[in-house]
Amino acid sequence: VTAPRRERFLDASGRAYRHLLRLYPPAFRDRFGEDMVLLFQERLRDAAASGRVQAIAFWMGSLRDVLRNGLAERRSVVRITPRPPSSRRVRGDFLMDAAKEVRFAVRRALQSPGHTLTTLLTLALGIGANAALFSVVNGVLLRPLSYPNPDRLVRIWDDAPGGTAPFLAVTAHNFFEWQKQEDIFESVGAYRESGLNLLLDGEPMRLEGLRVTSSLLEVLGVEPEIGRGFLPEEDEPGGERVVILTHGLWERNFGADPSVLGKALAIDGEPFAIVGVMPKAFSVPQQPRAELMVPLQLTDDPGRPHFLRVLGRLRPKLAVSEARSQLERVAERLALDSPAQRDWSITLLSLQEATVSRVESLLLMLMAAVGVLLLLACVNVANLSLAKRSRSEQEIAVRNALGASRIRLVRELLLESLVYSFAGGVLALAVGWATLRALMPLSRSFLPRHAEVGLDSTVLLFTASLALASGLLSGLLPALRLSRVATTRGGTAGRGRRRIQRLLTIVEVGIALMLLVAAGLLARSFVALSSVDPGFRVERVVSLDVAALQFSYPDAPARARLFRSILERFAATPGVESVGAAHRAPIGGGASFYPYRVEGKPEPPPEQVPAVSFKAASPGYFAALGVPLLRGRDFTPEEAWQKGGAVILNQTMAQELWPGDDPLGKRLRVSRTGPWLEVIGVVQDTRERGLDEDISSAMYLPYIEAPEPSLVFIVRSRTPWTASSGLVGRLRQAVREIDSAQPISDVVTLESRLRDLVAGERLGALLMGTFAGLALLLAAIGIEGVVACSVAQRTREVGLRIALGARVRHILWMILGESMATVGIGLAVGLAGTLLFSEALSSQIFGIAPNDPGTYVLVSAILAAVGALASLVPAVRAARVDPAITLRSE
Amino acid sequence: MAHSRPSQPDPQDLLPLTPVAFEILMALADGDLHGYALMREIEESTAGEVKLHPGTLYRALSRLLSGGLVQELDEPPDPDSSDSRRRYYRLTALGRRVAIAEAERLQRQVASARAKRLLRGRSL
Repeated sequence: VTAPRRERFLDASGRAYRHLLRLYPPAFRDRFGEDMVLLFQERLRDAAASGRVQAIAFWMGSLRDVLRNGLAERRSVVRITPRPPSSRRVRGDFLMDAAKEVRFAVRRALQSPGHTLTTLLTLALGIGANAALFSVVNGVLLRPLSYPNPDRLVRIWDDAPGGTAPFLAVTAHNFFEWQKQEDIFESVGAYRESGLNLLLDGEPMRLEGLRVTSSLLEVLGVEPEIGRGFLPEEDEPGGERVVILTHGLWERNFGADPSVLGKALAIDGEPFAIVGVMPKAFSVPQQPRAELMVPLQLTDDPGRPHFLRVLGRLRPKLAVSEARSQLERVAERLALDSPAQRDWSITLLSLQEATVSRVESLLLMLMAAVGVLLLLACVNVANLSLAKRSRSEQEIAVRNALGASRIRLVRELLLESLVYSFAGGVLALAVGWATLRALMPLSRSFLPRHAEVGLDSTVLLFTASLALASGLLSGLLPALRLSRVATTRGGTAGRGRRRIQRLLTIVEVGIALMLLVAAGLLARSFVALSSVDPGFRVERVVSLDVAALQFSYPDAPARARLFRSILERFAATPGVESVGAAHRAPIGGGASFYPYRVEGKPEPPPEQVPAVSFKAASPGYFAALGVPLLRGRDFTPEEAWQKGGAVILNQTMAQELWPGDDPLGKRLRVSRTGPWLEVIGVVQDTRERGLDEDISSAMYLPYIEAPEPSLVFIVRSRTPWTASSGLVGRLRQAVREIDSAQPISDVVTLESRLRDLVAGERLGALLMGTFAGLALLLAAIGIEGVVACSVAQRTREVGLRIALGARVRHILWMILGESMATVGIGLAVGLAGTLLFSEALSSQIFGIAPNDPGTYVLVSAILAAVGALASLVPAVRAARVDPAITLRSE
Repeated sequence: MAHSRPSQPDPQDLLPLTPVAFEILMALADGDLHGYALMREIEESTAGEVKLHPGTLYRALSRLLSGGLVQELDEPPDPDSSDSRRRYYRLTALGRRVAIAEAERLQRQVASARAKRLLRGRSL
């Protein structure tokens, strides 16, 4: 046993022993408790020193010792000291009563284990689902961002004329202008994502990094844990090469060694001095994967496109809406100065909203769903409790006759349901924890603030309140109802209760229908989304990123040579069917836009120059992705890597520019003075940004016309990737043979990229489906319970009917008919409710109308069938009644 | 002091002592001890035959304290060297007289056992 482990064992033992001492009377404990614990620990230390067995033996001896002496001491105290006359007799009695009633309630619960189990499971699932969803809502939507004064943080975008691109990245020019607005901002910072090529321990690797302005940390209000932030002069073009690490990278690759400060880290083949390490939980907003930061060293180059992400910290007491209108006025003024800016505006949102707005409606929809589910669970518990209590009505009436007050009966019944809900709440935490564990991996790819979700004290408090509320909700109605039994005559009470039970069943069926419709719509929407043809084939394709080392390949020709030789080497690698490359990944890679002019058309006014999303591509890109070439030809290697001068359009763009005309041989250019590019081919449209987005114009430029620093290679294998895991190794090897310092990164199959693209929709459908399934189950349990109870009470009537010659079939129909009438009303109520709320779903569904009749009919049929099945079981039991027995039973 | 009482009881009324109580009194006869030392002392003087657990020890101590046979020290005898959390115990004059009385009682019993030839050895 190692020393720290033994200390932990001793500590834990001491704590356990302290608890055991509660067996002694308090006075004794107060006087000797501390000494005893101390002594126990010393003795245990002695025993542990001689061995594990001795320690255990000593523990056993101590256990016996405490048990015997503690109880003996208690007895002697009781015997010696007469009980002091209590001045708090009344309160004591009340507490005693309450304790007795709790014990009584627990005992009663244990007497009917079936009912108790159903109730507990119902509550645990209902409350647990809420606990899990609330943890997500709390961590993502409710909790303020983890920066100082987060309400003053905003994110700002450029806003293209005509609302075509309201969330556009920002030009350097605008960023510098905004930085001057000291009336609005305390500080403004910008960054852009950038994969950084590192040499760590001789191993080339590429990490997610950020190029940031020196003001960014000031905006966020976070200081490095050790070292310092970037200095303004380091942020000037040509400034020092410095880097700040995240805590994770520091721990993982530098052993959390504080002496890393000042040491050099090889980034893109050049040494960067480490000047700081960020605190543990820090990440730049919306960049949880970024592991290191280098200065952005921004120049006010008017030719640069929109490429910056901009964050601002507002002046104190300035509202976000006020800041927005002030900055809009600034944008108008700028537009007057430069015609190119005309009609451009800005979008400004609080950082919190910018971070979470994408998932807000999905989360709120799911939260509403679990809320409704819990309501259903409570109704179900109330209903079951009413049904079960039919038998105790007699008892209650008798007790009332003997003088038990109504308030006391209500209290007793409420207490019972609180006991249930408390136990259910404890179980719910386990359910919630398990749900969350299952949920989090599924949501990693799309949920912002993913790391901040967890079961914390807020969630515990929420769960506890829900348990209390459910206890009251599910207990109050039966309590009031049953206690009234006491005051009415027994005969009429049953009918009143049955009416309430029917009402509750109607509510249950209605709620279940609403959840089922929502689940049905989401499921069909997900299927519709997944079956959208992206326009390319994803099977057996991986994408991998290569970002050319900045200092080894400083200019476009050098990069082109590197990428060309990688491409040729890949193509020659055994097992590769085809290969191509473009500067953005085909799925989820985002988009870049270029303005363009068409030859032979007059130069449009500046604000009307059209922009189109483009890709810088290599030869073979379309073949590797399986995008059919409709007209013309692909780029030649010379066009792609050296000459340029060509362009390939998608179908939509070709038809828009030259409807009914042959686009081949036509020319356009991507800057006012650039060379003319000849259209050499037309390819089929693809959906690369999102399956739910409309197809729009797109063009493909030869790499050399837009020589981006990184390319995403598309490799189609001859065999499925699982079977050819050696291929990735061969591809890595191929790159290493060209340049051993050049890393590759983000090796992913396109299939998994496609899965990630619809991960939110999938999870939404999955969860809603689970909730609806639970709702269906609860409704079935409710219907079954109510029918069973009503049948049990009418045994005599059924027996009499059978004795008088009624057929079993008639009895069945009678019972089934009654319960189906209830279900039918429930369906009608549910349909009305669903139609009211379905519009709220429309933002979440794709390719299907929120009031899609097919879904409604199907779902209603399922619910009716389940309802019939649930009533059939007790009905059959009733119809088998032996009339002789029932008539004798009275 | 808290333990001093208006009328000292006769030691004879308190006999016989439980074995544990007697061992405690004897251990304290040589000087003030804290719980751990007390326990070690008893173990050593009985050659490990009497093994005490804290519950037994403190229950007996509580009896002895309330009977005025043992008193608790307000301060540890050597505040520098010892853990200030520890409480030290000292034999009172009454305790000493009770211990002597118990020892004499036992001696008488041993003598009569010898007289009955239940024990071998030199007769006193």
